[in-house]
Amino acid sequence: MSTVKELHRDAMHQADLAHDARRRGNAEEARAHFEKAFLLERSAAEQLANQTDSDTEPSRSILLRSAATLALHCDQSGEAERLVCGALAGSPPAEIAEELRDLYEQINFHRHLKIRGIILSPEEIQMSFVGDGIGFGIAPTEQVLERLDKAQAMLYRIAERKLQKPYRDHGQPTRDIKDSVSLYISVPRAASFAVSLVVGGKQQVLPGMSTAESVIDEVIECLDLFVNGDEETLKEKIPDEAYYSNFVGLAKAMSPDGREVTTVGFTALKAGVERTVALKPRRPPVITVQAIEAPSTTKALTEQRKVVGLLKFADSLEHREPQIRLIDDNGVKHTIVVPVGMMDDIVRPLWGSRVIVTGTPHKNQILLSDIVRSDG
Amino acid sequence: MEIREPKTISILPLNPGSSGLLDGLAEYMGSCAAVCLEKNSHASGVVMQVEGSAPTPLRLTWTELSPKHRLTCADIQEATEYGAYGVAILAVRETIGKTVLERSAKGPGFDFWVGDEEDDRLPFQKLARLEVSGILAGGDATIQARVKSKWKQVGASGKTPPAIIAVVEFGRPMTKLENK
Repeated sequence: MSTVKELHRDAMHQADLAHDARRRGNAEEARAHFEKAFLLERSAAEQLANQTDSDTEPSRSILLRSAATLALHCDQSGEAERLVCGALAGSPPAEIAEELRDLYEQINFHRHLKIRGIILSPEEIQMSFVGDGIGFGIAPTEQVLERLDKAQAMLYRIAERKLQKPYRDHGQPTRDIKDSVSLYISVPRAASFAVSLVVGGKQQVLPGMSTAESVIDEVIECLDLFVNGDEETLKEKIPDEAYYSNFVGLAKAMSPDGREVTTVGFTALKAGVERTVALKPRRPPVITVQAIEAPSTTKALTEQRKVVGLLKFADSLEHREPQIRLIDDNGVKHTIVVPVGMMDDIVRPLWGSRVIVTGTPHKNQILLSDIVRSDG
Repeated sequence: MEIREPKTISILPLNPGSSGLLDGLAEYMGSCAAVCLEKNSHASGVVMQVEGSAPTPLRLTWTELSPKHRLTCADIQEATEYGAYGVAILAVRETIGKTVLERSAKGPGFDFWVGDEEDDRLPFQKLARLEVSGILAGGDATIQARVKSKWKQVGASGKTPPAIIAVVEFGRPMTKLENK
């Protein structure tokens, strides 16, 4: 029988191969290596699983945590849960115990993403919310409705882009777009809080699948690229600058704040297979958009500026690029240049609100890369 | 005052030592580090100061980056993270004399464990966790805040495994090493 150490070494070797395959974009190969890594690491961990005395720590809890992490890579959340609970039942060091609890929360979210007996049609997408502010089957309207509004905007924009319509700067989508991808909401259900969004499709416009199916497919695919920070592939999928900025802006606006809402997830079915993507709390931006090319100096890399204030004025007529003005707490006015594609769906709904703007200083203006509503 | 000539270490290729890292992962970490340094307008041969109990200057060298390297490291946030791991593994080896001996799967990647030797029977025994954080470009306050946050994460309790904190900043460049 192989020793704990040998099994663990082999598991890490397989995990290396999996990460390498993933970086090369070979998801199938990555999955096969992750499965091998998981089985090997679980075998190593199980040799110590019944030895709950502290002599085998921290090896026991680290191996169980590692095996649980690999189980999640293989979408085996049940196995991951069992391994984490086994680790916590021993005597893990405080720091590892804390990490095991974090992992348990992550596993729980995977469970929330599952559609749990609800049958989604190919033209439905489930949107789930988890966080301290979300109860079991109950959620603050502001947190949910704003994000649903963004989801609707994202569906319209993707439909317009897929139908090769030029980017719409203002106004409503045309009747045919509204007919194709109008959003209907199901009765909310506890999961912690989830709704099915039924994308109404009257017309078969795109070949192969309905517009609604095609748009849902694109939502999941592009959000997955956004979450993984794969800017290059996302830009290949959305080459039009305005549509790209708009998509990134909407994805950021739907992302959890990390406090009341910690995860926002989407689940859909494609050819009977469940596909999920989870937006994570905001962190330093993985993918940003800029109004104009900033000078590529170290200074530009370091000096992202943040301004908090009241979004009061907008002026898209007198300037080549749309601008907004922000009045900070000292009464100072800041001029913010808004990239194409961000004004209508992302900035305009925030007018009159207190917001946090992040961007790159350029001359006397700030080139907007991110804007969110401020709690303060 | 004696002026210390920096020791030269290669980040690309990156020697994985006895860590068991696959060459591919070691190369990825090295490429990420080189990409982050070049993004900050540094060229091969730049001197990085390692600050900590034994301040040491290290001269970092790398082979010319190909378009493939840049493409693989296009996600700058991931590149900063993996590049920092590569630099930290080398800095710890060169300045404290500890080697990465074990890894475990954690989050989207791995965590690393360093030491002189480990138990023959079980992994992770007698080892310290290497906690690494990368900053593409940041000032003293950012670096200090990152060190503080890492210590908070590691925990001050004597019941936790020992840890070495490494915060790698690619702008100057510098690495701050602290251990408990």
